[in-house]
Amino acid sequence: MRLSTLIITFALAASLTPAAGQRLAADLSERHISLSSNFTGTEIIVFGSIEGELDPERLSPHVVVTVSGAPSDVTVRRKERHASGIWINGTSVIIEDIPSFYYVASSAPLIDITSSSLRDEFHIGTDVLGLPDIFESTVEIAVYETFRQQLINIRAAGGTVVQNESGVVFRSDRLFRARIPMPPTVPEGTYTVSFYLFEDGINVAAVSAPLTIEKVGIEGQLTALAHEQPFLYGILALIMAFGVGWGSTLMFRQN
Amino acid sequence: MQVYLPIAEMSVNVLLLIAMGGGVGFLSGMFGVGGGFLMTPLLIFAGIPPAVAVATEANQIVASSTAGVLAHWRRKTVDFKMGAVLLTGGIVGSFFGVWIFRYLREIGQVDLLISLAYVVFLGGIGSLMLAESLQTLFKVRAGQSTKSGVRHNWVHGLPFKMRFRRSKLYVSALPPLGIGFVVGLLAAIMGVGGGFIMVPAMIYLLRMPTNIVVGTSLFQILFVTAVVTMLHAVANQTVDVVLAFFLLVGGVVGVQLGVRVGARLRSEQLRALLALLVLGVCLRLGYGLFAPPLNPFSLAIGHP
Repeated sequence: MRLSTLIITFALAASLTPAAGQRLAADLSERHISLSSNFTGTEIIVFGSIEGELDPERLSPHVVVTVSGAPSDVTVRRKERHASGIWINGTSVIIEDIPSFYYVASSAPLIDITSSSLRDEFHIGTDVLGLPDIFESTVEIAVYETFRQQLINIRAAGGTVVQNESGVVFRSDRLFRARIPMPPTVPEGTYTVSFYLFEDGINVAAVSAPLTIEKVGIEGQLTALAHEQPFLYGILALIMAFGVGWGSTLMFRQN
Repeated sequence: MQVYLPIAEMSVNVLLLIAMGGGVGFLSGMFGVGGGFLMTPLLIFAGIPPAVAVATEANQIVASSTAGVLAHWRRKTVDFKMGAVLLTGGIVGSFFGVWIFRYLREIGQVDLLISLAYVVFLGGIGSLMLAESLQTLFKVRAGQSTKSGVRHNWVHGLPFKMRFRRSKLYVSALPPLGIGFVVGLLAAIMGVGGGFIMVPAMIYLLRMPTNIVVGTSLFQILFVTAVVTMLHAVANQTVDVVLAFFLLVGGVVGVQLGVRVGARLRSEQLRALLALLVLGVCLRLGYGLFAPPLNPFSLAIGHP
């Protein structure tokens, strides 16, 4: 982990209320989202305020909010036309440790807020999503870049990777808020909501809060059972099938 | 009303699932087929991941064949000894099939395997059925007899002969083992019961009496799909019980309606219609293999 990230993580770890000198206070409307059988997507509201003196000499402050979580390695495959005319999965690239859901909201276009090196450092912006710290893939960097971009495009189409450059709205000089829509396909996992304050391109404050999304009810239990005790799950699936099959003969024999 | 499918990891309308189950059940009842070859492609077209569609359909067939086996058992039209030999081959085949399935899934080619298997088998069977039923239709019109007089074929020259009392047969155990193996393989890869292969093979290769054929094939299908369900659940975690359940709710009703409609149609007409249906599904999947994909890129969680 990079030193600056480490320092910020430590600074944020304890609490969302600003410590002495901390310039940002923020919170979320919900810390916990349940994926039940009738989940059709939701929306969380994040909000906060800039604390301390606003330096009139400096440019107006900018706030960036990122929501990211449920990281996993993803294999991106490309279908290529075989000599027989059939389209077959050919080249594949593994993008490591990329969040399954990533939303970045900002009060201005990201390129106007800070430099690309700082954005890369804080994982701000879809153009730096999935960039490895050290490039050690077996494919050429141009191929990696193409596949990484396609991954982002596919997830953007599904609403799980979003960059909204007018998403953070200021209600006064200090108060801001943003709406984060969560599509029905949002995966379960642990998420981090991070708030960054930039002034003149410099990160002057950052806080973060956890957000958990989990499957609940019978669906959650079935998923857990399927992966943790697959043999028992299989037996249950068979009992259900035998039961329905037998039940249907009873039901229609009387007619 | 939406329901979340825990294994497919998507939200689907319950009514759509019940309608799909009912529609395929109706056709199954009308034509007297299992319907796996219709349901699996339909699930894939509806956006269910192919690996989940195949494994879940195996689970659904367990239920529909349970009902069938119970009915045939009561009528004493199951040759349990023949069924056991077919089943032995079927279990070996299904282990082999799930192993291939798992390997191809890891290298990202399982969708291709499923599509190719469907195109080859549905294309072959559909063409044969269409040719045969058209021939029968014309012969019936011309008033000719359609009976064939052949009693023995090469199958009766094979070693390891066994006596099957209920089928009134004394044949080698090798052909039923081989037929069972192929059907088990197809069940694991295609999410079908495999009746469309097994029934003609039992009639034309083994020369089993037709009244015993359906019950015996259902007996094999019941246990092979049960084994396939277990194997997919353990090896791939792709059996979605919620999906299977709602398909079954529609299915049990659809089958009953289909049986009633089917009873009013002539068998040659039914077979010609079924052949067209099979060829239609084959062409649709074949088109998917050759048509340029809308997006050539796809994502899979994890490493290959």
